[in-house]
Amino acid sequence: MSSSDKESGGMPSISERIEEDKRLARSLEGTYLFDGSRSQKNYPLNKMCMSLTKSDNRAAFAADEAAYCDRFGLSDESKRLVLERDWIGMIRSGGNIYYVFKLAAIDHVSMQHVGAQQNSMTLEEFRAKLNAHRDQ
Amino acid sequence: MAEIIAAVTTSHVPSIGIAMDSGITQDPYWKPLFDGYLPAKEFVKELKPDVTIVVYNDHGLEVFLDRVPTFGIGAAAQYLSGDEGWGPRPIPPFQGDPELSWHLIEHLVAQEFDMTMFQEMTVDHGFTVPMSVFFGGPAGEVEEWPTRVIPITVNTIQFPLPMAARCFKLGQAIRKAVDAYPKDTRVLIMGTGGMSHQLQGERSGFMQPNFDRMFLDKMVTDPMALTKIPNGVFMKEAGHEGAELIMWLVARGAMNLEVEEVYQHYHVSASLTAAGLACYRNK
Repeated sequence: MSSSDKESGGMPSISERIEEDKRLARSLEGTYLFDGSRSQKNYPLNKMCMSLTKSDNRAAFAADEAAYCDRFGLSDESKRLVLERDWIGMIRSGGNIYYVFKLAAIDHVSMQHVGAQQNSMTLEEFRAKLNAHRDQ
Repeated sequence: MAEIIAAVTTSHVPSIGIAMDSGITQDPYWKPLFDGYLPAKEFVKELKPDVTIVVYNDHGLEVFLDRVPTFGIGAAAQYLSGDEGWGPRPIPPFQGDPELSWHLIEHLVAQEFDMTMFQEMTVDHGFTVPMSVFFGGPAGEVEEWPTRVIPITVNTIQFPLPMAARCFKLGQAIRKAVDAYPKDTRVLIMGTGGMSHQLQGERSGFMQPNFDRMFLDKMVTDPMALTKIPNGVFMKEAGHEGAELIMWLVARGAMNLEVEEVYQHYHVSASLTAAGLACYRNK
């Protein structure tokens, strides 16, 4: 660490602030901090999902999902996650929820469905979880 | 001279847009939320802003991970609702104000905010849902937008996100830039996103009304305290996606340190999101 990284008056250095912020975010159970390393982890999956903002691409995807995934260089495992609509699997493997959700839109699946599956809950159980916050 | 006449803030959940577009705002699930919006619509109607600066984050419409601007600004004459994967929203086009956009760009860069400039951009739910909430009729209906718009984008997707203090300072710089604009122009600034919600992972469905109420309170009484919250803490207290609240601080930074809260509404929940809304006037 260079001396320029240190701040005066006993304040944490810039490196310490960054590390503390990441440590806290990574300590949250069931949370996948979307930082640089995660963004690099499954770039092809996110890129494929991003392409689904064009209706022609959505049609091509619907015609042959596996072949469409191949065009973006998805790994066999990522392709399986897509074909099975394994939402939590996609998030764990480096998918970003906003890109992955474009895949859900194709199926007319709501964020509540995606949330329920990520929690291993039925839709009714997940909705009860959401509504429970009303009492807080 | 131009002036910032007020700030408004709101969550920008896609399903709120879907509820308006599919005419189900009076269904029992949605009615409490949309009823809560009515006084805010009245407030904005009386303000008659010439231009509305909308601070939002792009959710994978114009911005992919290949290039992520931390702060961006639109300089287009017109902005259309884009296709996020479920088709564009059926709403009229938004008219821009390129002259004010370029003035803001020059004045922000001169204040060391190096904005990414967009001369062509479509806008997603982060932009369109708040516009419908504030400017639409009771059910969100709009024939023609009564204000020109300027989009300001903030990266809240790819970490690291800008710090809360930086967002507040961007708001202060926007205020100075608007104050220096020679044309008589009434400007409303709109901060969007939040409040607490998490969409990704096994923690999806997380909300924290206590944190949101603290945030709403301090927006009025002690905004500087909010600027000291690290993004890791926002994620812990408001959820991985709830860190969007930093965009409320852009709007807050454009106001006086002393503000009056004209109206506030808080509703749990709109789908996975604790939906908050507030209207502020300078004291």
